[in-house]
This record gives sequence, C-alpha cells and structure tokens, in this order.
Amino acid sequence: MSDTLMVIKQLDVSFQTREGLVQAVDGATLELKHGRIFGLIGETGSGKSVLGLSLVRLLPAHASVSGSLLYKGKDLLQLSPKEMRQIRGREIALIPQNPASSLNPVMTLGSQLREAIRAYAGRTGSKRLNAQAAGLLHAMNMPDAEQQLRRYPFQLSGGMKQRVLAAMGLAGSPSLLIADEPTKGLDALIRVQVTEMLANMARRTGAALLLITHDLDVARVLCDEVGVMYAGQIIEQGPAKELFAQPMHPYTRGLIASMPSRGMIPIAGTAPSLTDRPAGCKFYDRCGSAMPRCEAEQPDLYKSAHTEITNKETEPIDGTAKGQQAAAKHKARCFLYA
Amino acid sequence: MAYFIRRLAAAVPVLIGITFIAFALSVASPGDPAVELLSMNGFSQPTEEQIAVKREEMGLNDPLLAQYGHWLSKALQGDLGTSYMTKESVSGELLRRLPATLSLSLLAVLFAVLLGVPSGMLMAIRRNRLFDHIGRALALILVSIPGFWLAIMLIALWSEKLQLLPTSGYGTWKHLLMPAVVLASGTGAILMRLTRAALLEELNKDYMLTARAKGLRESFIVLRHALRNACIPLLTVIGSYFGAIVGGSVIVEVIFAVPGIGRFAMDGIFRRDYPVIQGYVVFTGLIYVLFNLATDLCYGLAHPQIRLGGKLR
Repeated sequence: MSDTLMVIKQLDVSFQTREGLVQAVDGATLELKHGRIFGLIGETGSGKSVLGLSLVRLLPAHASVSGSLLYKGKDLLQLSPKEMRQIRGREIALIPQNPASSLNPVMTLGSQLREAIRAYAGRTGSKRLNAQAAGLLHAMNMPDAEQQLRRYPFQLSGGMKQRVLAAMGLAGSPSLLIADEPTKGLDALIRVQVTEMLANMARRTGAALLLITHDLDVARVLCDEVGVMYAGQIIEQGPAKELFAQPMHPYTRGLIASMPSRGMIPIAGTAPSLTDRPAGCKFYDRCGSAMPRCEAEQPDLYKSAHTEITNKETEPIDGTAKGQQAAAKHKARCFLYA
Repeated sequence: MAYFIRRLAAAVPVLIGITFIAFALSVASPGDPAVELLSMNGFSQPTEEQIAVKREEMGLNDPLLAQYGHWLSKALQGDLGTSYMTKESVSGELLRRLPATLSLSLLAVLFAVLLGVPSGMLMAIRRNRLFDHIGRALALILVSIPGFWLAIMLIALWSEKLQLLPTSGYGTWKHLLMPAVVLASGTGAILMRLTRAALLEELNKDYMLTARAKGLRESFIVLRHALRNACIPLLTVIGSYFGAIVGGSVIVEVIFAVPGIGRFAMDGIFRRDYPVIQGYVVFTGLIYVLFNLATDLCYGLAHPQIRLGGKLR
C-alpha cells in the first residue's frame, strides 16, 4: 500500500472582497503521507492558514476554491456538506490557532471533549465518555485530568488550553491532523513541548501531520518535509534537512537569514498585496538576484540539481503513480534553476 | 452561592433609595395630606380644628425622619397605608390586582421571546438572504408601531369584524391574547434584532471553527455553542422588560380594561390618592429589583465566569 494519504493538486483559493479579488492560495500542490510531518512555513498573510482550512472546507462562505483535494482517492471538493462533515474530526482533524479563543467559554472542558468523542464514537455511556475524555487529556500530559473535565476554559493557562485543543483534535483518531500555528501566543518553552507532543502523536499513530507554523526552528527540527509559502504560492518545497541546509529560493534564503540564530537579517521590503499581485515572480520586488524575465514571467517549480542526481525519479508529484519515493524532491519556483 | 449573596447585598441600598423616594413623594406633593383626606368626598370643608386633630393623628407633626421610619416599618410589614378614595389597604389592592398583571406579563414575555429569538436566529444564519431582509423590515415596522394604535387595530379586526375575541376585560385566556400581543410586539422586534446581532457575533468567533472541525452538525453548533454565548444581552432585555410590564403596563391595561396594577396606578394619579401612588412606586421598585436579581442569576447560570467570579474578557 502506498504511504500517500492526501494529494493536493493545483489548489486555488480566492476571496471576493470589497477591495477586489484576493488570491490567498495559488496553485498549491503537495502530498501528505502517513506518519510524516509536512511543515508549512511563511510570513503572516502568506496563505498558510487558508490552505490548512481549505483542506477541511471550513473557509468562510465567500471563499471560492478550485483544484483537487484527493484524500484516500476521494476528491473532498466533490463531497456533499454532510459527507464532508463526516470527514471532519474522524478523518481529518484541525487544531485551530489562538488557543485563547478557540474553546467555548461557557462550556466545561468535559462537555467540549465529550461532544468531540461522541461525534465519532456514537452513543456511549457517560461514564465511558468521561473516562475517554480524561484519557485524552492524560495523554496530553494534563495534570489531574479527571478534575480538569469540570473546569472552564477561563480557568486554564494558554498552554493547557492548547493541550485540550490537541486532545480534541485527536479524539476521533484522525488519519490527518492539521495543526494551524498550534503554538501561537504560547511562551517559548511550552511552544516546543506542545509541538513535540503533536509530532510524537503523529509518529505513534501513523497519522499525517500538516504543521502550519512561522517558527522556522520548529519546522527544521520536527518536520520531514517543508513547504515555504509566499504571497499564496508554495515557492519552495523539499525534505526539511535539505531545504534548510541548501535553500534554493532567494526568499527562503532570506527567511533563514532572518532567524535569530542566523543573525536576524530582515528581508528588505514587504510582501505584495494579495489583491494586486505582480504578474511575474511574486518576490521580484524584493529579490537580490532578480533577472529581467522574473518581472513579467511566472516561474514554474524547478528541481534542484542536487536532488536530480540522487533521485532519478522525474515524474511530477502524483500520489497514485510513484508513492514510494525515497525522499521528496527539492524544488523551487525560481528561474535561477530553470 | 457567594455570587448570589453579593447580588442580594447590592440590592439593599437600591431598595432603601426607592422607599425614600416614595416617601418623599408625599412630603413634596402640594397640599396638606390631612386636608386632602378630609375633603376627599368633594363637598365637606374641614375646620382648622379638624385638620389639627387629623395632622396629629397622621403623625404629620413629627420630624420628617421619624415619619419616614414610622412609614418604613409599616411598609416592611406589608402595610402601605390606606387609599384616601376607597379607604382600603393599598397593599391588599395591589396583591388583588397582581394576578391579572402577572398573567398578562408572562404571556407577553412568552410572545416576545417566541417572536424574537427563533426568527432572530434564523436571520443570523440566513444573513443577507431573503428571510433576513424580510425579518429586518418586519422588525423595523413592529418597533415603529405605537402600542395604542396596534391595540385599536387589533380590536377592530378581531373583535369588531371577526368577533372572535372580546374587546376588553379579564377572565379567560381570550381576554389576554390581544393585550399580550400589543405588549410583545415592540420588544419582540427588539429581541429579533438583538438575537440576530448577538448570534452573528458569536458565529464568527474562533470556538465556532473548533466546533465545526469536530464534525458536529451546524444546527447543534448554533443551538449549543453560539446561542448560549449570545444569550447575555437577550437576558438583559427580557429581564428588564418583564420587570417593566409586571410593574404595570398602563396604556394597554387601560385600553383593554385589564384590572391590573397599571390601571390602579393610573386611577390613583388622577385622584391624587397619594398612598396609592406611594404604594405603587414602592411596589414597582421592588419588582424591578427582584427581576434584576433574577436576571443577574440567569447571567450566572449562562456564564460560568460570572458565577465563579473570574475576570470577564
């Protein structure tokens, strides 16, 4: 059996707003595999969260989505709302960002966890539900799990809320877990703890994890594969180690150079407005290695010379054909590699 | 429990204030209560001597504070004085009239909630669709219609033309229908808009995404997650409105001849029957405080953070 779980092909997401059409995700193509962690990195507003939400079809109603989301061979975009609801939670779970506001303030943790379990397990006795809920919290290293069930979100710290949200995401033992900046607003120590916990959980259960983060260190250490987003496009993707060791795209290089551990050199300029994106390379205005053709022409994804040699596979990413590739190919949307 | 006691303690100074104002009313009102009482029948002219005796008898020569204390201690025992006009106990009359007003109020609140909350919810869910547009127009119309006009129109239709409902009076549920509808229309419309706004705000909150990501049904999510969070402003309006109409809805009670508390107060005011007015002020004040207390308790039930004394975000 192939270890490919979900293939996202040419995903476009746009929003019709008063200011015009916002192209939030543009031609995203990626593959999620069992037991693997795919990290999606990029600045705020680069489209990471929108991409994550589009996989469970929980974008606001005014979003228009096209492309294909092949999950276990089914295109999620073709499913009815009811079928999609049954996918959510038990097949694909989402751990939302903002732990502070993502729990219902007037319901106990217990009732919020129980309804998550009930949604997948069907009718069970309240005793068993409680035991399961406590078990989920316990697995998340929550102290006094039984007592916590009777508490309300405002009685918890941010880190604890995050654990509850993670526990809720895992309640239906999903095959794919989307964690949307699960560590936003948490302090550094808890950030590492929570993310590691998620990573371990994914490895242990064999679920795929899509980790959306702007924490490059987290992505480098925990992820198997990384995609870098810029102005709605995945401008570079490849195995995490290779991508961080030999970044291809000038933007990725800039991102890495801006890390506190690498000298904290900021990238000059600002990202283009999503309502009025440049026709050619989206990074053209800020790029130090820009060539004349970059302004008008949109670069494709080009493979790195390095991967070409180690990986004789030259077919485009396609989960059905060659799932068992040893390593994902490293490629970037830049004419430097054309 | 601590929350309840705190709310209760906060109500005490309010009640003292109300009784003081009610008492001050009789002091500040023009004319000598003794003269008023003695000339109530409209033709007798009391002599100086009669007035002096009556003043002494009513305790009007005592210092004001002593008079207030005397009056308050009687009020606390449920004695709000006797009506000049009917010579009957004011508190007894209020209690006699309470069932009419209370049943009318309950029905009106029920109508207002039934009209306002479900349609407001549906408007929020169907935002900017046909139902929402119609609902908003309807709410605007209902808020703008004066109660007395609606009352007359209802009587003209249901009593005069269709002859299905009695024009006025009190006794059967049929008598209560029209006055309750009149009382409910404005508040129902306000509840409609308020429910819509409060629910819309909740529907966009982060925890809704969490609930949807669990794969729960949308109707369940709206009813169980969003509505409970949205209900605080609704409780405020329902609670204070309920308090207001239990305190007597003068116009509606007069038009439909409902022998309620508002009617009683109206008669008292026309006849300058000060004990009645005084009793009415104390009574409505008490009702208001009670309903506010009940509303506060409902807040606590709806919102654990209020009950458990945490800070509100």
